[in-house]
Amino acid sequence: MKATLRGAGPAFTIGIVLILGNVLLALLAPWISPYDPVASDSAAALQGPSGAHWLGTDMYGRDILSRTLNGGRYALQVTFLATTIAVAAGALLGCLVAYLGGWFDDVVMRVVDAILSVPTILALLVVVSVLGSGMWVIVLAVVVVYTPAVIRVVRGAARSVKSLDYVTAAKARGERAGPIVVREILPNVSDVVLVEYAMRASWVVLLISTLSFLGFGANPPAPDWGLMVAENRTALTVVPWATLGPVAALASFVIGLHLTSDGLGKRLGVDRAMTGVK
Amino acid sequence: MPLLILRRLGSAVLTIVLASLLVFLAIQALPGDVVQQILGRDATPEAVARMRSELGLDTPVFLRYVQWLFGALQGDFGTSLVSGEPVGPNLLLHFRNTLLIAVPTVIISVTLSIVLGVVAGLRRGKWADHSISLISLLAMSIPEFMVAALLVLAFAVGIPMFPAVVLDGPQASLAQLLPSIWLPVIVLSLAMAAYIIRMTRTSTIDVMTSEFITTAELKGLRRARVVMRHALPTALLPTLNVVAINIAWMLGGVVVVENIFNYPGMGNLMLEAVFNRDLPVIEAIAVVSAAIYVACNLLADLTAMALDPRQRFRPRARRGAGAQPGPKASPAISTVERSQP
Amino acid sequence: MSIETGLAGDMEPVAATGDAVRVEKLSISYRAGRALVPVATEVSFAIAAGQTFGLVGESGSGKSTVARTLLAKLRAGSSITGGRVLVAGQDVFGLDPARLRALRGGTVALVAQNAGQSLTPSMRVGTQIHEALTSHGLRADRADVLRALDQVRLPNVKDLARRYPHELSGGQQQRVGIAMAIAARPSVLVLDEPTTALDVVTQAAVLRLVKDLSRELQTATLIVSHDLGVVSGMADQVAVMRHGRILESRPTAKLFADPEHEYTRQLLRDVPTLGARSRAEAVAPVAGGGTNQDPEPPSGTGNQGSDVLLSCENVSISYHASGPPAVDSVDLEIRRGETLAIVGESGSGKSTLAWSLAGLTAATSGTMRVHGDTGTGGDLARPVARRSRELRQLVQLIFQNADTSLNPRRSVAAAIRRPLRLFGTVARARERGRVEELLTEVGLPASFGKRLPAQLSGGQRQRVGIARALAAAPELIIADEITTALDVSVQADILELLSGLQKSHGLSTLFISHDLAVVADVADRVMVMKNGRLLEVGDVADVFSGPNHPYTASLLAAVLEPGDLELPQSPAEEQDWIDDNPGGWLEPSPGHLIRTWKGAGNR
Repeated sequence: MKATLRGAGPAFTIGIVLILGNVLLALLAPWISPYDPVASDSAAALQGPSGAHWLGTDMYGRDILSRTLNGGRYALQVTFLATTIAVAAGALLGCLVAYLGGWFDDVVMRVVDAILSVPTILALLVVVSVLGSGMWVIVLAVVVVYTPAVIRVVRGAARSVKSLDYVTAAKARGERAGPIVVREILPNVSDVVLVEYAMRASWVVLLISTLSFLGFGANPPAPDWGLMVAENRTALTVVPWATLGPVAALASFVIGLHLTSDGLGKRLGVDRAMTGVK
Repeated sequence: MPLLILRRLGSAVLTIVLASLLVFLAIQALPGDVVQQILGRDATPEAVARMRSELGLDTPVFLRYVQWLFGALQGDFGTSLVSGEPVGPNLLLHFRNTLLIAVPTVIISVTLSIVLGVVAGLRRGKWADHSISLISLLAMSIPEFMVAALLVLAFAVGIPMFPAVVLDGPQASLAQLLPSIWLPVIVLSLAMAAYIIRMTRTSTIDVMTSEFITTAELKGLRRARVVMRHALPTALLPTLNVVAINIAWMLGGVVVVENIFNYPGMGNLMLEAVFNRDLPVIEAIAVVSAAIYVACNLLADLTAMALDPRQRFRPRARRGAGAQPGPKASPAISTVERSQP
Repeated sequence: MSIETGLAGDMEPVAATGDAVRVEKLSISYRAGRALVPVATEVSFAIAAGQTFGLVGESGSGKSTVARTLLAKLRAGSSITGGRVLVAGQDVFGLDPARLRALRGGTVALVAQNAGQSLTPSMRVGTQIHEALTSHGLRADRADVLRALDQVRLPNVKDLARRYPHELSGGQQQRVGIAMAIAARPSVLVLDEPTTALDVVTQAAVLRLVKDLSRELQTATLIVSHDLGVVSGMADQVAVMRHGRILESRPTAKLFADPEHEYTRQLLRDVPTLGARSRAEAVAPVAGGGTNQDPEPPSGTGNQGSDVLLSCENVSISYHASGPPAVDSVDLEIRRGETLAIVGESGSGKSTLAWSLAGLTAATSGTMRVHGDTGTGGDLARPVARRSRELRQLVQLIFQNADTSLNPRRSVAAAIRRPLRLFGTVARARERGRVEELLTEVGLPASFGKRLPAQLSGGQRQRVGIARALAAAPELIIADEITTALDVSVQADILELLSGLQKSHGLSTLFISHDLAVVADVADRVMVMKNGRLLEVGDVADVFSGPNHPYTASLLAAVLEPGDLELPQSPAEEQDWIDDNPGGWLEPSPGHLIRTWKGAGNR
């Protein structure tokens, strides 16, 4: 793996640093936060940056720095779980669909098309409106919405691998579908899957934050980037850091993911921008 | 070729129907009884039963779906559980308002991003490329709600050029809404353009390194002609798909933007319906969105056929393609497959 | 036809030396990271108007890079580190943009290897020719475009000008490429592997055309090829390149008769040739019942019994229910220890037949019986999923492209171990040892087991492919164009290895190839296929000495061999025969069968 990643360029290194920095801060937040992120103090509401509160306080007098540090925990956790499950399931199914082809491919791809045709945020809202907004519901919803997209991308890559001679050689030996998918196809789309993971994660984290912003994700008073922006955007001129802090954190994480997947794509020969859109 | 178009059309209709079925099932089959929700926990079993039969919930799911589908085909999406009024006309009104944002967004972002994308691709590695790439990276990474908040601060609070929120209801005339569409349009255009720019840039770079461009250059053609006549038709092909998908994505994006600006469009209607668990409305919006998504993709395919003569005859062979010896497939990943969201 | 040099560009007249092109001590380097890798070193040559100069070399010799400098074109990252390129006395790398455009296409024109990829897919053929004319200030109306297409002997030019490149055949695309190149009457023509992607018959016709045109236009022509036969037929003077240097540069006749450099001699030794086998004339078409007509399909010559390994009868394979079958009622027989070759151009059905025997495509009808040594056997008409383990083991496939036939993520040892495990050829404890034995057997060090395919050269990968096939302990090897992607010297080694293994293991081989010279070298018997049908079968000696089916005759006539200074005269590109349905078989000598035919009606 180290050899694979060498030569991905300085942008890639910056990307990795941004991701790891955000993850590390989120993990350590409970220990390094100067204040309890949910403790309100009406006497200290809406203060500007000071020695006591580096980034100031919000309208309930909560410390913005502490809330920002803790604000990624929910989003990052959901992103990690949802992306991992969606990409793993999508990669396996995508390879299988590509290899088996025929009616199985037709049926699966038809369903994939149908799910993809409902805009992600609408699909997510449908699920949330029916099942509520617990964390696992959100994870499930994101998995349902994004697995089809991963299937599509991986299937495309796997179809070109499938027609290569080493897969034909395995078929001619009489290998079964399972070993062919696992031994021959999957390892050769791993680069595509890796790039897909980084990019998918960037969309998921934005989506989760948007959901929180709209009031369907994290519940107040929990600290969460999206929620913080929703709560504080009207006071943007009074305590700018209450909005800018969480957005800067979120944006740096997303930029990190983009740079990483760009670097990976360049190094591994996968065209990242080809994957296009949310 | 007509056969190819007909087949695409057929599969498009099938996709919409399937999408509506999935949404219908998701809403109807998942736990949580609507009637209980409406009447509250204290409702008597008799009242619940009466309402169930009033809403037709005592018939089997599949039958209800067929009934709903036939209604939907005639424009009847049922009645709202909250207002008790038919869903159709109200949705149409909100849809009109959303189109008022969507159409300028598409025109602005597509034009801008194709120009910038091609410029970045041609000037690969130069400062123009770097700055375009950097701006699109930022536009992709900052959530729309933040861009919207900043724009409001700048152009509604700071320099009061545009209204910060819309105070008119859905029935407002287009003229009344017009001043308030610009901030939402800018927010959506930025997010949308970023992706199209990246795609256009990559495919321009790809095409410019291809053999036929070298041949055209070595024929002694002017650079402008090489780019416009030889490169662009092929370079824009993958972009088309991304444009189509982004147009569909925008239908989701409007939810956020309309929420922030309190704009009386389909996105706000959706949020309202979700808050109130107004299932017929949610369903209608989901199906309309699916139809738009499918229509955009269909349009992209047809445009591709117009742009590239090869697309007109290429059969969409699925079966047996892997078992045929012959020209060995290149390991490169098909652009079309990868441009899906 | 007279030619004004530099008609389009306002170039100086030809330099006093009389050479249209002079390349002087040209050195080119490629920047890889911080290092400069030399691509060409002190290359010098000159071409006079009306002369043809050949650059020949194996892949990576730098010949294409040098050729493109005549159009002042370098690959991104490359730079000139010394010397200069003079066209009509002017240094091409010192031209301003306007003069550069005039040079490209006006003074110097390029015909690239793959016309399919070098024509713009979204533009009509006529338009592309049209702009080649107008961009050099030439008057061009529709008639001029049609004349240009007519000049490269394309049929139905009016209709053709309106078509898109993908609607043309490979040969037609290459002709359009040539028409485009000569449209502005250039004084220098650069041909970069112009016929590598074409079938032999088309290749001969295209080369003939280019040679005639360059003579007519009195161009200074540079032809680049890996194929010694092509260069030999085209060039007046030939230079042999290796690792970016010209090893020797001499008049064609002298070079081939008496090569000076050891590398040239090695190359000439490695090129397979038809050798002493004489070029045959076609036997006369038979209209009715000849005396020696054999109504029976050619299922061999009564060699029934234990020495027949594989016998196929009436095999047809269709991919689509409608449309002509890819393989149409073919009979074939392979005897134990024999090499049977199938030759034919692309689309002849030869690979389809091979893949069907390997079980990858089911035969639509017919039987394919295999009789294994140890009493195993069965019907190969079944696809691989329904074959027994023994049957799968019996037949092994080696692929054309060694680059894609090995899983890039698995080590060489893993690739070879897989069939050992699957077929249980040896006990698990012995697997490691067996892998090493097999590697040694194909001429690779046992330590190569640890390597990944990317760490091997093309020839080494093909050896691994052979070892993997051997690992299954097969009796029949199907070799599908296994040397097509390799350089001649590597090809010679691989063919030698294969024939050695065949003897030591008692293997039978079905050898698929488009290259008649290779077939003449390795096969015992040969089958000729076209459009899915078997046209001729017989011992190699019989088939190559004739009499032949007219199609076989045209194939043989189109072969270009090193040392032949002339191209075959007006090769019959248009098919001048039609199938005589249902048809019988001629048997000019025992075991040599030729399908009967009729002369084409329009002649």
